[in-house]
Amino acid sequence: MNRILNKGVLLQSFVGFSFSMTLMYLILTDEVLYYVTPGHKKWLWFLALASLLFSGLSLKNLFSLRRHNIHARLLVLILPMLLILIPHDKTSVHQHVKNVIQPAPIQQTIYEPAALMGEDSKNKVITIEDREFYLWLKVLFSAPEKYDGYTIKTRGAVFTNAPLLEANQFYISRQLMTCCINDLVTVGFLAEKSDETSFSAGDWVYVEGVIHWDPIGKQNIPTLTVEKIQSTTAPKQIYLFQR
Amino acid sequence: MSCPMTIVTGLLGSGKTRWIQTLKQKSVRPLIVQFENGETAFHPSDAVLTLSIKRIRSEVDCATEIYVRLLETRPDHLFLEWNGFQPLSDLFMLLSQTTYHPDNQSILDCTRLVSVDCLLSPNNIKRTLTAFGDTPMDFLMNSDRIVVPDRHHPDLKRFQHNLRKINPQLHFVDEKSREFTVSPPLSSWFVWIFMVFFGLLSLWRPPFFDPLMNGSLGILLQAFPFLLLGTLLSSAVQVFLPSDTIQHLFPKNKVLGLFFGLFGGFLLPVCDCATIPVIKSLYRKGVPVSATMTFMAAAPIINPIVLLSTYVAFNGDLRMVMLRTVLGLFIALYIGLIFIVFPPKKVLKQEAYLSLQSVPFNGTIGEWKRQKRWVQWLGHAQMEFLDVGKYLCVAAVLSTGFQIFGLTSVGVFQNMNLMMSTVFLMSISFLLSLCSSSDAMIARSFTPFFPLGSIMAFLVFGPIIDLKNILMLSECFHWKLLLQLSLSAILITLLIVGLCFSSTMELMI
Repeated sequence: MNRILNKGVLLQSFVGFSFSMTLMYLILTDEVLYYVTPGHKKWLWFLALASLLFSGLSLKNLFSLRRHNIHARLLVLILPMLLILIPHDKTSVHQHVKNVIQPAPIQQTIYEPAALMGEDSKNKVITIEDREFYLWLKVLFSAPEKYDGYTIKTRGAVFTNAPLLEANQFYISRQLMTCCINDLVTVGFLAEKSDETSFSAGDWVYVEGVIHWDPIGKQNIPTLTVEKIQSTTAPKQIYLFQR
Repeated sequence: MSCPMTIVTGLLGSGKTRWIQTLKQKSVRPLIVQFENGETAFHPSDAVLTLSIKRIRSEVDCATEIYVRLLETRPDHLFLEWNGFQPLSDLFMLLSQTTYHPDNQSILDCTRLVSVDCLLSPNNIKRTLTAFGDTPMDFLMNSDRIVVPDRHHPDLKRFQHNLRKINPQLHFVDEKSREFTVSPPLSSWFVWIFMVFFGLLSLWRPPFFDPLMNGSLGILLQAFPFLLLGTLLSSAVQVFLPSDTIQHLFPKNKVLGLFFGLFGGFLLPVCDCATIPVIKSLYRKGVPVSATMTFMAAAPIINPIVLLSTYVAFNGDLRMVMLRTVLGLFIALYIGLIFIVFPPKKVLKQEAYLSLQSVPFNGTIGEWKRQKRWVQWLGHAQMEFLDVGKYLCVAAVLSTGFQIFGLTSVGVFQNMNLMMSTVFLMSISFLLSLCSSSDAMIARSFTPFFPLGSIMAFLVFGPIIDLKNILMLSECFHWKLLLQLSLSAILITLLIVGLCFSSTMELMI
């Protein structure tokens, strides 16, 4: 049989293969966590492997007699590749809720605080690991009496955009992702400082402070009286994840 | 020898023979091969080879006969007249066969395909495209030119645009071989405008560029796997399930069918991206439109994953989970009932009748039909993913744009009354196009600013009607159906909030 190379099929297979490789790169380097939660990794593996399979199957038609292919459809795969590959600031994001969201007290059945690291109950100190920031925040909301007077050591970004803040108050904040970058919300501890040190919104700081409970609006929220504050770098994994 | 070859195709009586007579005036020594006797006869001096349709079953015999005639007559142009009832892929297969002639060549080896001309009139387009299975799609996809007998036909513009959606490389000529200038379809313009806009942005780098890139990518990476899952399910229904099986299993009573739709929604643990391809397949297989709409409305709200995410987002508040479930079920049933009482006259778009045929993305119909079922399934899913995915891409960019330019900024619209805030949060849920498994966390963040009723409206309206869903549905469904669906969802959501939540005007926190 006469064999004619179908260039459209070749292009389709190449684009599918490139899309699959780009996704795998994104997953293996953990860059995907700038956009979606770790729970999505398995789904993205599914997408990448399916795309690889489609790319291979397309090659079955490499000598197809079909004369026209609609290449414009391939933009569906090319657009995400462009978005991934064009250099840009991955941490620049727009948030539609410009406030700090406080977690409500949780039931013990949902989360077991004993599994958390960093609690030194003898010296009444909690050193919060970056990835446990939100979990500790939830635990502190759940048991305010137990942790009143504890020294908290943590780092976060300075957030000053919230309403009802006094001049010496700011939030030590992190951004929490539930599903993807579009649902980011800010969570954090309220902090009060007594000295003249000043930081701009968005600066990363390491803070040590004693926790007590202050009313802000209709809520009592954990507040740190800052004893030590210094500039620091952002953590490698900039977002927290709900799941 | 490399003889120019033109293939002329079209239905019986469409004027193929007349068209060949027009074309052959430019050649000195044409050879015409007919695979049937046309109504119009050629001049006795013309070299005409007529092959019976029955003999096409023996492809090599036919190919050999044509090849021998080519050697004998040494034409300066070969015209093949092919009946549109037969897939064009059969003709390509015939032309690619190595003949019995000692040269061991095929027709394609000794010819050069100049053009495939298809004779089609705007008058019979719908009948042609719906009545003959896969075949019309096959000849449209493989044609270079559409020959239109009446270039002043009132429906010509829509006709051209619809065909260009199937094959963007089509040219249009009238019976005197004069080409029409047809503006490219809106989607082509959009693609080019988008690419130029995107290119300029990447060079200029305005402040919103990075958030636009990140936000769009976030939506795409989150939604693509579920869209693929949906298209795999949808294609499985399309390829493996015979139509009569679903029609046999599905209840004849339309109201009972709505409850089947609800039950199906509970069983499909995916977000709205996956349900849209599935409802297309269900409708194709004969499920009533009322049940498919109930299924579409229920699935993203009441499936187990969404209920669990609502439970976690609201810190184990079962009241929110129950409210969301009950309201979701009620709205889905109401939408189904509306479609029973007021059945839409048009469900699918005219050109969508074409995509009802199982057409693979690459390869001809004939080749595809010879594939194994699982290969057909994957091929179909791939094509459908790319078809629906383009709407998801557009929705991702638009939705992120709306966020960046402040149209969804909640800080500006605090402390409104119940109905105002409900309308506002419904608009936000439409524009944000969030995944139904993550919208609960955003709804939770609204609790300090908005009443419970409007937050519930956000949670039940967004998964049914949002920008992304509407764009994806518009790929196949008629705009009147989408309008009916949207209005039904808006009215029932406002009505429920007005009636059930008017006493909870105080803010939750």
